[in-house]
This record gives sequence, C-alpha cells and structure tokens, in this order.
Amino acid sequence: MAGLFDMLKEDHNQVKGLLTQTIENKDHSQFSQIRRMLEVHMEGEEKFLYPKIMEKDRETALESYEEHHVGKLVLHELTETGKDDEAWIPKVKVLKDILDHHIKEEESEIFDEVRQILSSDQEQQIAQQIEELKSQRL
Amino acid sequence: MEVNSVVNDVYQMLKDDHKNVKGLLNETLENDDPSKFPKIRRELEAHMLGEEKYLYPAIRKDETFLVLEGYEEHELSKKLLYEMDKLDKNDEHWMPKMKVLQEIIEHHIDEEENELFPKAKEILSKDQERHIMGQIRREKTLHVKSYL
Repeated sequence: MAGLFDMLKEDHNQVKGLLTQTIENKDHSQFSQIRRMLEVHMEGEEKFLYPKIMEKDRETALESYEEHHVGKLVLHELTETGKDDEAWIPKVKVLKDILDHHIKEEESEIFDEVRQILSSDQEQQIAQQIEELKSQRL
Repeated sequence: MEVNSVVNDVYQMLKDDHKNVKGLLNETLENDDPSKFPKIRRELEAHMLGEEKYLYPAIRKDETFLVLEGYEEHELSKKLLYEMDKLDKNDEHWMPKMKVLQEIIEHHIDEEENELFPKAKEILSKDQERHIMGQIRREKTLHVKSYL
C-alpha cells in the first residue's frame, strides 16, 4: 500500500486533472466523478487526518476544514445549476482555483507538519482507514 | 468622501477600494480582532454591488467567462460574510473563516486587476468609463447611507 501522503497527493493530482479537462473541453460529463472523488477525499481527511492536526495546530486544522467547506459550497451550486447554464464552467474554474490553493497549502506545509507529529504506525493506520472509506464509497 | 480625494479613473477608484479592504482584512487577522467586521462587510457589499450593477454588465458580452467567474467569486464571498455575521465572533471557527475569505478576495482582486480591468479598458470608451464611475460612486453612497 502506498504511503498516506503519496496516496493523498495522488488524489489531488487526479482531481486537478479532471477539473482542468472539464474547463478546457467545456465538458461537464465527468462532474459526477469529480464530486464523488472530492467528497470521499475530504471526508477521509476530515475524519482521520485533521483530528490529529487539531491536537497540535488547531488554527491550521480549522482553516483546512473551512477550505473544504467552501469547496462543498461550490460543489453544491454546481449540482443545483443546470449544466447548460453559461455560468456552470466559470463556477468550475472558481472551484479549481480554491482547490489549487488548498492543495498547495497541504502539500507544501501541512503534510510536512503532520509527518512530524505522526508515527509511521499512525500514518499507516490513517492510510488504511481512508482506503477503507474509499472502497466503501467509490 | 472629500472632494480632494476623488479620483478620476474608475479602475483606480476600484483599486483603492481593494487596497482599503485588503488592509482591513489583514488588520483583523493579524490582531485577532473582529471589531472591524461590520465595516469590512459594508464596504465589500457596496463595492461588489457597484461592480455587479455597472461594470460587469458593460463588458459581459465581450468577456463572458471572466465576468461570470467574477460574479461567482462575489457570490462565495457573500456566503462567507453571511456565515460570519451569524456566527458568534468568539467562536473558534470565526477567524479561520476570515482567513479563507481573505484568500478568496485576494485571488479575486489579482484576477480583476491583472485580467479583467485591462480587458475592460480595451472595451469601454472614456465616456462609458466616466459614466460607470459616476454610477458606482452614487450606488456606494446610497448603500453606505442605508447602514447609518
């Protein structure tokens, strides 16, 4: 099994790729996949990883929860808005900008910080919990 | 508003608003002090309303994507402002929300100043720009007064 952080980065890359495709090709057909992947990824981080960050760096963890919250607000709007509405693809662009920023913060700062807090056993356990969640939902 | 401080360029006027709000957001976060929130909310709402009513529609036909993106960024900011208004200022989620609002707004401002305003400059005549500036200024005065 891949390490926890490699697994999360892999998720990030996959979602970034799907969002870019959607915007470049003005093609909404992969939206349900994007939404499902994002929801499960966020749920996994929120349930298993962020609580560990909360113990050491509450401010950073709370900000991460808020960024997910904003991502969910846009996902909800995208679900409610007709796919042929001319605002739909611009909304995906806004979602992508928010996620790019969030991903950059996680990969360049937060993951390094968490690595120092967690033992390799804990990392492995969290990776397993997230994998299990994914296999249940996806 | 003092007559002396009135600028004659719609983009400069909007950039001054941006700078002002960025400063207030920074202060709030750095000093961990929510007291300027009503002012931030008032200024942001008036500024967004002015852009949405007068600037965005004038360039929407030529720059549809950028304008629709702008509306959406405003929409999200308003949602966060609303949540922050309802939430107890001492709640530990309040400042993190403010931080996320700051990030969204700074990103939006970058896009406006580096992409949308230069495009608008190409599209609009000097007369149109002057007209829009007058409309935004009037709207702002009305909006800010409605809070007093």
